Amino acid sequence: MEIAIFVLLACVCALTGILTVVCRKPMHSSLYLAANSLSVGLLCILLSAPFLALAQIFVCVAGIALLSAVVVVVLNLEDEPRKGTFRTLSGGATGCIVLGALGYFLWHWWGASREPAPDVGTPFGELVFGEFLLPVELTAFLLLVALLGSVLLTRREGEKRTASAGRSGL
Amino acid sequence: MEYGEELFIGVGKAVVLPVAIMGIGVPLLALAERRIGARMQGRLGPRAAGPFGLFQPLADGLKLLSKGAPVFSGTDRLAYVLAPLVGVLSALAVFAAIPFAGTFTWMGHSIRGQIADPGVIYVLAAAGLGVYAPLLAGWGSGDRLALIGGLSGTVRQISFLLCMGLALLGVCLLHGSTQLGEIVLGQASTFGPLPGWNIWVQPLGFVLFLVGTMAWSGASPFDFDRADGELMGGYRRRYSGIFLAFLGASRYARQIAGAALVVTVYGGGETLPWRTGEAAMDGWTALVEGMAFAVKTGLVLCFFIWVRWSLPRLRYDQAMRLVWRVLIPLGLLNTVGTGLVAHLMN
Repeated sequence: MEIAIFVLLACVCALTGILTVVCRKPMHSSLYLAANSLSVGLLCILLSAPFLALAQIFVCVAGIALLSAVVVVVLNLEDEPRKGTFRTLSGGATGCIVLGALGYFLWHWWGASREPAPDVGTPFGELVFGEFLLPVELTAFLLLVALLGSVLLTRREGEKRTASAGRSGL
Repeated sequence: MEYGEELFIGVGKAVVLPVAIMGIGVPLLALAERRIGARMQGRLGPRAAGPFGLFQPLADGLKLLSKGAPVFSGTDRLAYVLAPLVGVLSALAVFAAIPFAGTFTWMGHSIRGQIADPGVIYVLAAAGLGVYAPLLAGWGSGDRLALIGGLSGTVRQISFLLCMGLALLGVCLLHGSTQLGEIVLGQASTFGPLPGWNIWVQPLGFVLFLVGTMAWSGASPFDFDRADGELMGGYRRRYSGIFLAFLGASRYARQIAGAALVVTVYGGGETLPWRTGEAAMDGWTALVEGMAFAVKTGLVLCFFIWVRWSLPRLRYDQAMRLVWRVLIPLGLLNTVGTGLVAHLMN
């Protein structure tokens, strides 16, 4: 039962991934991206990684994919025009090469003896949230300052004047 | 319990709960909103269809269903159709984590009154998926006013979800857990002469969560994104028939989910007042607890309706100022203060 759901989700994941790339409508691409992230999250649940799954859904689906959809709406992006024959052929050829390479590696991986992957997550988490907690938090604070600074720097002069006039009641 | 029985009970809960919410909760809330509103304005309200107007929501639903599922020209069909479904599904997904009764024994089987307990991160993630509904509806409608309404709705939901998340952090710090089941069990105690609910321990968090929930669910006075005067209905203006019914149902389902969350996190959940500790229960006690949970949720919903008919609608900038300049800083303050107190007490 679980294997069947896993295979189904994997197929959905692959399909939505392909549709994200090939779809001509930017909004539909964003939706497929969200569906892709959601299916990856559900796959993580099946792989007994619930926190990773929820983080995936929370950050990627409700964050990144949503942001891309909002950008599409705000910029009012038009549908992507059809490419010429040469670009279509070259894109198709590149895709075939990538798929071929992927298939080759998968074929060899499938035949090779599989050992459980070493647990790199726990030591990494212990380092980040233990020994290097302060530098990590300081970096986060630095990123926040950089974000606020970039917002201030990109404000136009007119906006600044309007804002100051509004505050002074003019 | 065997795997088959466990699966059967799990699937049963996953089917019964959404059907009960959409089939009973949403129509009752729609009727209560109109009846209480009429009472507050000195009107009679809907009372012709059935006793006390009980069949009015059914009549309204049938009217919308009879209009079919029209998709107007100039719309983006995928986004237009998907928006109401996403709204309903995200609201129902929140219910999966809410405990509506304790663990009880029924016909020899131990049943937990909760579909799953993945924790508050899941609740926020599921609630966050609902952000897509107004955005897709606004974009899919192919209309400028609908698009403005959709964007406003998206921004409203994201902003107030942050406020809800910050309020939840304080409770999680206090109970040392992110599981809603454990948070409810932690409230099965007393706080002086009062029940040991989080509403007394985290009053600021409660206010923040209540306001955040109201705004996230689109309850008035935070429904500026579908304002009739300014936006001609906002992202709903090009919807009709069954899609409009689903959009409306999604808003009511979100309100019920929000009220149930408030009760779970701050109102002791399904536990009866002054009940302490976890006790073994039979089916009848679980039923009483389930009813207590429904009554508490109903009271919170009545508060939503009371506010809806009392306060004027906030403007977009007023709501944004409220959330970003007042509620979120207060939420941060609440989190830091709770963390400090929890640290000192430990």
